[in-house]
Amino acid sequence: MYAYVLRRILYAIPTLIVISIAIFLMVRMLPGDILDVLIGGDITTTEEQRQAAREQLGLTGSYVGQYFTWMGNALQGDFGISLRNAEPVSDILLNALPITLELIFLALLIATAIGIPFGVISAVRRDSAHDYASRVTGLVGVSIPNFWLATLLLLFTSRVFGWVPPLTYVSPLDDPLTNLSQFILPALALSVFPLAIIMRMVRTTMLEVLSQDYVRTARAKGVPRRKVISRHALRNALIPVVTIIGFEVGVLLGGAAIIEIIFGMPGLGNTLLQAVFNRDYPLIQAATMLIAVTFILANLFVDVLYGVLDPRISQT
Amino acid sequence: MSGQLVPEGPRPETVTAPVVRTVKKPLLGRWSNPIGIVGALIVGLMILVAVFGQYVWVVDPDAQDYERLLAPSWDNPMGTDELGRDILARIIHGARVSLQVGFISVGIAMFFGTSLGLVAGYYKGVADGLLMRIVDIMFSIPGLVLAILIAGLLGPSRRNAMIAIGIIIIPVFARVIRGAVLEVMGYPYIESARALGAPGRRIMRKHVLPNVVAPLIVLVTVYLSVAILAEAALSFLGLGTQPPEASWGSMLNTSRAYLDFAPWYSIFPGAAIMVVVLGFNFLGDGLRDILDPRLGPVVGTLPIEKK
Amino acid sequence: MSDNLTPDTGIEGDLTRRELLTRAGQVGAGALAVGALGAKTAKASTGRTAQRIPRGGTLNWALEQDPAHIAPFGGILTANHWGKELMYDSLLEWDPKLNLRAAIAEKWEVVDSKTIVFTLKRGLRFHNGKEVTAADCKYSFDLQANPPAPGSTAVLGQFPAIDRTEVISKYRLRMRLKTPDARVFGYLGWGRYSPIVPEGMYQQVNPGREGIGTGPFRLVTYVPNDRLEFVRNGRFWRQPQPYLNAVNFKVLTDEQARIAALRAGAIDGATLSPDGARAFRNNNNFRVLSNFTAAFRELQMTWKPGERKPWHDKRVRQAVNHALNRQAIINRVYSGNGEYSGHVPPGYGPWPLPVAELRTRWLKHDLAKARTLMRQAGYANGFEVTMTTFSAPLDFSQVAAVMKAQLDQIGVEMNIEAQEPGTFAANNGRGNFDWDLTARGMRGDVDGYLAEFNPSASIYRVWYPEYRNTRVWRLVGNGRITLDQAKRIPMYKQAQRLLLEDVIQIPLFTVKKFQVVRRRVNNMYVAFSDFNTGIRYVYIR
Repeated sequence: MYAYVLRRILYAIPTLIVISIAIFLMVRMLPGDILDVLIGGDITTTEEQRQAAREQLGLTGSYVGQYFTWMGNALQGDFGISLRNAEPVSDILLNALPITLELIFLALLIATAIGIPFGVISAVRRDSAHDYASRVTGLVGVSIPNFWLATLLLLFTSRVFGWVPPLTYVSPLDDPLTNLSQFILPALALSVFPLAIIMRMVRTTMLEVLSQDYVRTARAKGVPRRKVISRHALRNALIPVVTIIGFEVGVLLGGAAIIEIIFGMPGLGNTLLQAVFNRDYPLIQAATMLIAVTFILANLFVDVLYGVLDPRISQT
Repeated sequence: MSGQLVPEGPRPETVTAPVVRTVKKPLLGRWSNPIGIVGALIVGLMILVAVFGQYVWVVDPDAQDYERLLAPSWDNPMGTDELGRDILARIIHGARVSLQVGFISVGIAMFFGTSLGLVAGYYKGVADGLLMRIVDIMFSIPGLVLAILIAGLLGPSRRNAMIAIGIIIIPVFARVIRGAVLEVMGYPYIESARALGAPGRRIMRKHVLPNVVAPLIVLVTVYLSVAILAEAALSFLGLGTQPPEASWGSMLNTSRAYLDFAPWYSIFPGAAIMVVVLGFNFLGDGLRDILDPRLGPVVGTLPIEKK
Repeated sequence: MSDNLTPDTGIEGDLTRRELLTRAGQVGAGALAVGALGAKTAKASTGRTAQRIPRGGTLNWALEQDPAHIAPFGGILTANHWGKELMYDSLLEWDPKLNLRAAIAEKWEVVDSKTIVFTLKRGLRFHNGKEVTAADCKYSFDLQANPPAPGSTAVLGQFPAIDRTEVISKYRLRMRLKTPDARVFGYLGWGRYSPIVPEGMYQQVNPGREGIGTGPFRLVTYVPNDRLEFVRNGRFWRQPQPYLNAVNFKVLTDEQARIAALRAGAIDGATLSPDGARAFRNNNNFRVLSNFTAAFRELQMTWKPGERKPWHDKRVRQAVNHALNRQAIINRVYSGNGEYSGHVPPGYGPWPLPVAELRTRWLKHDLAKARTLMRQAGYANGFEVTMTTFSAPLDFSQVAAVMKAQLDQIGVEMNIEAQEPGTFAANNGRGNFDWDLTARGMRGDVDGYLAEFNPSASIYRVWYPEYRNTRVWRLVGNGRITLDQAKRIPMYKQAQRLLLEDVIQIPLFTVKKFQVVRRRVNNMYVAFSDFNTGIRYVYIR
C-alpha cells in the first residue's frame, strides 16, 4: 500500500514538470503581455518606456532562462510576485484556496447527501414513479448552466427575501453561521451538476450490484433486504461516487470560476481567470500547478479509498 | 452475469455476455425503451428544427426590425431581444449552431480520445504509461484556462470554441475507452485469439472495437450535452460564438441582464438547452439499457485509473 | 438629450498667458472649467451647510472592476484609481464641476514658462500624523517620474515635461519644466498619477496594498480582487468632510450580482447599465444618478505601409462615417442615453466641438452621401472587413452588431470579433487590427485626446504611419507647449475639425454612466472623470 502511494507520487513528478512547461509556454504564446493589458492603446508610451517596463517586470530574456529562474525559485518555495499588484503569489493563492475548497466541499456534500439516497431509492424501486421522477429531475439538473441558476438564485432571494449572501468573506472558524449563509447559494448552484450525475450513477451501480450472485445468495440465505442493501449493495455503489468526487474536485478547482465571479468570491478559479486575462504569468503558473497538484492528490486519495471500500481491488 | 434479478423478482430484460454482444438478440423487446424513444424523438425534432426551421419561420435572425425587448406576441412568438431581433428566429438559428458545436466538438474528442484509449489499452506497457501521462496532463489543466488559451492562440470564434471544447473532453474519452479495452483484453477469448496468431489489427477490429461501442455511444450522448453547456459557459466569457450570430449559450448569457423585466428572453434559450440536453441524455440512457444494461456508470468511470 | 451638457462654456475673456496662470493660482480658475456638470449635486463642497449634515455611517459600495493594486504611482487603469482616490490628494484637484482648485497646495505662482513655485498649506497631516512638507512633494514627484512596481513606467506617456522639483523651504516647492508644457496643471488636478505621499513611504509599507495619504479616508484592509475597507480620516484638511465614518468597496464584476446586492441592501450604491438602472427608476428606496463621462466610443482604423485597404481612401472613411446612424445605436443599445462625440468628448470643458455642429455636419447620418462616396471611391459593391472589440462588457458587442447592420447598407460586410481583454489590448497597442471598436477615458489635459495625432507618439507609428497632415501636426504639437489656455482652444478645435474631415479615426458617441444609490445616500454624483469622486462628499441620512 505504502509502496503504491509512493510510486504514484513519484509518477506525478514528471507529469507536474511537463504541466509546468506546457503552461509556461502556452501563456507566453498568448497574444500580449501584462504591459499591453496595462497600457491598452490609449497611451502615448514610447517603445523605450515599454521595454524598460518589461525589464522591470522580468519579462525579458530567453524563455529557457525565465523558466529555470521560475522553477529554481519555486523549488525553494518562492513563487514570485504578481506582475499586476506585486503581491507574493503564494499569499494570493493561500487566500483563494480555502474559499474554493470550502465551496467544493459544500457542493459535493449537498450532491452526495441528496444524490445517494435518491439514487438508491430509484434503483430499489426501479421503474416506479419515483424512479422516473428522480431521473428526470436529475437530467434537468444536468441541463441547467450553473451561471444561469446562480443568477436566478440571487435575483430570487434579493426580490423575495430582500437578502443576498454576505459579501465579505468570513472564515468558518470565526463565524460558522455567517460563513455558511455566504456559501450556501453558490454551493447549491455548483452542486446541481454533480448531484445529478451521482444520482444516476448510484442508481446504475446499485442495479448492477443488486443483480450480482453474492447479493442474491445473501438474500436467499434470508438476510433482510434492508441489510443487503446497506451492507453489500450500497458499499459497492459508493465506489463510483468516490471516483466522481475525485473528478469533480479537479473540475471545480478551476471550474467554479464563473460562480465565484457572480458571488464576488476571490476563489481559485476567479483568481486564475483574472490572471489569465491580465497575463499575470507567475500567478497563472503557480495557480495551475496548485490545481494540478490538488487534482493529483485528490485522485490518489480516491484510489486509496477505493481499496478500502472494495477489498476485491487489490493494489499491486 | 446471465439473467438479472432485483430483490422484488425477475426483471423483464435479458442481458448478453460481452463476448456475444454482437450476436443479435430479439430486438423489439430491447428497443421498446420508453426513455430512449422519447430521447430519440426530441433529438430528431431538434435536428429537424435546425435544418428546416428557417424555411418555416422566415425571419432574419440578425435583423433588428422590431422594438427592443418586446414580450411574446403573434408577431414575435418568443418576443424580441435587446436589439429588437426576433427571438424565435434566433432560437431556430441557435439550434443549428448549438447542435453543430455539440457534434463537432464531441466528434473531435471521440476521434482522438478513442484512438488514444484504444492504443493505450491494447498495447499497454510503455505506450499506455506514456499516453496516460499525457491524458493526466490534459486533465490537470483547468478546462476554462485551456479554453482561454486556445481562444487566445487561435482567435475567438465558434470554430475555435469547438476545438477547445473537443480538446477538453478528449481525456474523458481516452480514459473510458482505455478502461473498456483493458477489460476486454482480460477475457480469455482474446488471449486464445492471440495465441492462435491472429494479427493485432484483426483482434482490434473484430473483438475490441465492438466492445467499446456501447460505452462510446453513451459517452457521446452525455458529452453532446456537456459540449452545448460548455459553449454557454464560454459565451459567458465571450469566447464562443461571435456577435451578432445567435447561439443558445450566448443568448442565455446576454439575457441574464434582462431577467428582471424580460424573463421570456431567458426562458426560451434556457428551455431549448434543457430540452436538447434532456433529449441526448434520454437517448443515452435508452441506448445504454439497450446495448448493455450491465454497463457500469457512465460519467463515473471517467478519469480514474483502476490499478 | 443633452441636459447635462454645456459644451461651449469657456474661459472668460482673452487673458494673456501670464495673467491666466497667475490668476489660476489665486482664484483657482483652471484648464477644464466646465459649467453645469454635476452642479446639482455639488452643494456640499462648501462648508456652509455643515451644521445640518449628519455625520457617521458606513457606505458600502460595489466596484464593477478590480482595482488590481493601489500603488500611488504608475497605475494605469481607471479601476486603479477607484481603489486609491479616497486616500490620496495631489497638489491640485478638480472640484465637482471640473474646475481646478488648490488641494495640498495653497497657491502657486508661474515664475516663467518653465518654472512654477507651489506654496503648501500649513499644518496638513498624513494619515500617520506626519506633517506634509515640500520634501514629501519632491519625493512623490521623483517617484512619479520613475514609478516602481507594481506601478508601471508605461504611464510616463501622460507625464508632463517636469524636469525636476526642488525644495525651497519647508512649505515651498519649485517645479522646473524641460519645455513649456500646458498639461502640467491638468495633470496635477487629475490626481490619477500625481498623489503626494510621505517621504520614504515605499520603504515603510507595501505600496501595492497599503498607503499613507492625506485623503478623507484611511485604508485599513485591502484584499485584492475582493474588497477595500476605509475609515474616516479625522484630520482631513477640508473640514467638515468627510461625513462618513467608513467606506467599504466590494468588487462585484457581475452586474446582476450588483443589482441583487443593491436591492437586498447589502450595498448602498453601484454603477449599472442603463437597462440595469431601469428596475430602480420608479422605486422610492433608490436614487438613479446619471451623467456623461469621458469614456466615449470610437472606431479606430489602421493604415499601415505596404497595405492597400479600401479605407486608405478618404472617401471610404467618410462614407463609413456618414453611413453610421449614431442616434439609432444610442437608442438601440443605451435606451437613448448617449450623445454624439468628436475626438474630445462633450462635457470636457471648453475643448470639444459643439454637439450641434457634430450632429448636423461632421457626424451626420447621410446614407445617400455615403453611397455616393463609396461609388466615387470605386467601392460601389462594398468590401469586407473585420472589426475587433471587447467581449465584455456586453454593450461593445451590441454596438458592433448595430454598426454591422448599418454598414451593410453601403455594402460593407463587417465581421465582428469580440476578444478577451488581454488579446484585445495587445492587438490594439501593436496596431495588429484592421478596425477596432473601443472606448476612451478621462485625460488630464485636452492634449491627451489628440496626442495620438502627434507623429512623435508611438501609437502613430503602429496605427497610421502613412497619414500625413502637417496642419494637424502643427496644431497638436504647438497646442501642448502653448501655455495660454485661451489661445489653445481654437487650436484644438481647428485640429478636431481637420481630423473629422480626414476621419482617420471615427469618433462615435458618449454614453451616460448610471449609478444607483439607496435613498439614504446623499450628495453622490456621477463624475465626468469616471471616478467615484462623489463619495468624498457623501453623507448618510
